[in-house]
Amino acid sequence: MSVTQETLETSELINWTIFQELLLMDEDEEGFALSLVETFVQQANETFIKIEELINSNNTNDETLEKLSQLGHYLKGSAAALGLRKVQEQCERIQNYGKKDSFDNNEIANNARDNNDWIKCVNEAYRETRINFDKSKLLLSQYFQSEL
Amino acid sequence: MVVDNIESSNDPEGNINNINDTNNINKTMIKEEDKEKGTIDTQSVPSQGSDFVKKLFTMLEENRFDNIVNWSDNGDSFLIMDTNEFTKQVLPCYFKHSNFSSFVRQLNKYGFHKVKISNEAKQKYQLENVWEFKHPDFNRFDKSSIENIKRKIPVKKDSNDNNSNNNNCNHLNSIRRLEDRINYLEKENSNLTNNITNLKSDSMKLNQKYNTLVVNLLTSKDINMSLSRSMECLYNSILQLGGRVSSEIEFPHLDLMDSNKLVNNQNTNINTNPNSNPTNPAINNDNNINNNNNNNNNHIHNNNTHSSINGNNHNQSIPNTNKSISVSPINNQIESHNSNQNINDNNNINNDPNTHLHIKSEPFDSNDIKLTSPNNALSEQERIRNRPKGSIIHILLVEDDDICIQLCRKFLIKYGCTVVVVNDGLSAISAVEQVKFDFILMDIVMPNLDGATATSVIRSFDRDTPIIAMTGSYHRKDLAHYSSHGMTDILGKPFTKDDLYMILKKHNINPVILDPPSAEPMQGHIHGHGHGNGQVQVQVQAQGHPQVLPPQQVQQVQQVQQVQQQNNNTTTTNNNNIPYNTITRKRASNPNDINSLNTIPIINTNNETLLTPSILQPTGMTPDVSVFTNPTNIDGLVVPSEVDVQEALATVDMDLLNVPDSEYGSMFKRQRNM
Repeated sequence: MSVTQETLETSELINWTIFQELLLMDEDEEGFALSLVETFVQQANETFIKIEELINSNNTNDETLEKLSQLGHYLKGSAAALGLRKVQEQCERIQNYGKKDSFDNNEIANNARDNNDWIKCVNEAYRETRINFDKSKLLLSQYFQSEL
Repeated sequence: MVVDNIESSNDPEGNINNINDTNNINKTMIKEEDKEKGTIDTQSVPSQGSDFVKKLFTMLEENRFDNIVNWSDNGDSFLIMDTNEFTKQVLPCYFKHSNFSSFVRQLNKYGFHKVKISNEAKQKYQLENVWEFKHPDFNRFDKSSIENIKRKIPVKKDSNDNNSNNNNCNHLNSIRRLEDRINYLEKENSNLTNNITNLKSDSMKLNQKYNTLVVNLLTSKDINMSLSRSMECLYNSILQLGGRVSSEIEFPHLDLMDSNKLVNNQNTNINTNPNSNPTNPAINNDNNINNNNNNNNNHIHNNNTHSSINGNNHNQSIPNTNKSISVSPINNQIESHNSNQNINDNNNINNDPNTHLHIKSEPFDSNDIKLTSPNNALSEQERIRNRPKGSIIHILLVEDDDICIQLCRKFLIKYGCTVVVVNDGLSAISAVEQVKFDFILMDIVMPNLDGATATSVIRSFDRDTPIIAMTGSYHRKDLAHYSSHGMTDILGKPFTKDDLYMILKKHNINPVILDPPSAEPMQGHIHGHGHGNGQVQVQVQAQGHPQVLPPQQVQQVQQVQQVQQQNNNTTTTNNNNIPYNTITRKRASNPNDINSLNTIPIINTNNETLLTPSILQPTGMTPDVSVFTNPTNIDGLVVPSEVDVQEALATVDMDLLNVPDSEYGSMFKRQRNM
């Protein structure tokens, strides 16, 4: 199955308004969009490693949560800039759960009592982020016909 | 007795609680009166002559507080000489409460009237605080008649029969209660206002301290850098003189590495952008300039004031043969910061012919120096001189996210801007201290120093450059927060090219359009920035504004007067008969070829002089001379006043956030739906 612009346009993973801008930039500089996406993938992978380290560190203090929140915020910004809507959403969850804020009225988050619970929430959001990231990566790999 | 107690305990509370609107009050009052009536009916009606009046009479007869309350001379009224004392002393003694208004109400209920004292009499006898009350049946010499004084409150039947009367009475009472209430509220209000003023001054102080701290932080960071630089110099020279020495000295290798890394980071950030390198004067580096640089160097030694920027300039323009000069600004720096530094050692280094070892790190020098003056930012003129030549729109992008940087830079370059990228608030402050930007795009969440704080520091020496917050969160309270720190406007993330275009345009920056987002062509240009072929004559409004000088010439001098002289000299030697305040500018031959402007500006001829861009009058106003004559120092830190905040808030078009189809395009819509 080949991935065309139309596929991206209709994909719920992509915010087409934003992503379209990237593609337009290719007119001046060929491969610009792809290079940005590659940068993002690299950046995301680095961030994922850091997040996993924190989640698995058995440190459930506020500092850990704060760091997780910052990482979530960081990746959220990048994802948003590329229009990777779903990744962005999940990163926002990481960011807010890291601040112990059940902003989306999530059931688990609503019942979170202590830092441990919040770490679990972050972990859940992180899993979702990974899933959406992998999906997006696959989609974009196919679109650019390049291994990301 | 019972009645009185009820009165005194109920009234004040009733006053405080039920005052929301008159109707309500009337209703509740009627209820209260009815209740009271009930108690009166059952208990105190038989004894007719009221305890209250009796007590009042006794009080006056006993005359224990004759300087506070006493009979009038003819005995048909009584006077309260001092209401305050009366409330404090007499009321608790006789009536078991200390509520004057309650006492007055009670008097009214029994048909006493306050006797009006004419203003004349008041002034004549100094009766300002005197209240006189009177009742036809209340007479010092006729004790029996007080039996006739009764509460005016109609009994239940009366209230049915005589509604209007009742209402009138209630109205009167409610008005009195309202008056009390108002008094109470006024007092409360003034208390609160006082509190607020106190809090405000406190927070002002804190703010000031905070800003000072930030600046101090910057200073110490810079001192650290220059120290580690000089350490490095020392280390290198010692190495060259004979490695033995280094092994004996415990040299903080790690620290050096760290600081190097820091400096390195700073540097690469700035240098990653091909346009950021403000000038490449090395291209037209001829003897003339070298000489000038030497002159400059002398200047540096003579007056330390603005050495840093000149050092900066020649670090970039001096060919390698001038190494010793490039080091000297550091000496200066060290001298000024740390008088006890090993100046001799450094001088040795200067004299050491082998100094070329740290030529490699020469860009660090310039950067180092760039960062060395947080508390005395360069003067306006110098900051303007430092702008890259040929840049029409010079933009600072403060952002820590690589992707955003790449995208945003790409957009901006498309609009014909030159872009300098830095990665955190501290670097942003340093950058703005050195160069005047037309426009600053500032991320909020960043390492080292957040965008809002950085802005407030920047605002202490640069009040007019638009600083735009780039952020994903723009709730009202965030907006207020940003505004209070001096940020001009907000650009929601993620943004499209059009969003960026709009924000530039909104702040009077005229992006050059490669592919216009709207059909409207941008041909109108402020302040004579023609974008056509050929030459544009620009008349500068005020005399003696050095900022309009060709940067290339200005760069070489320090004082304004010198600038003028030199300018005259150079213009004549350039065979270019331009009057001092008239600048001729040539544009690139092909106006559409923006890319040629985006790359490092090539200054190929001496007679092409470029106008300093629109930034001088960012809001389209005549430049304010005073702005340029007041270099800011550390004490001049600006704490945004309330008015400033209000003004700033006024410029943020809050409504736009609520209008999804506003000029900002769809980004708000996207955010709103989340």
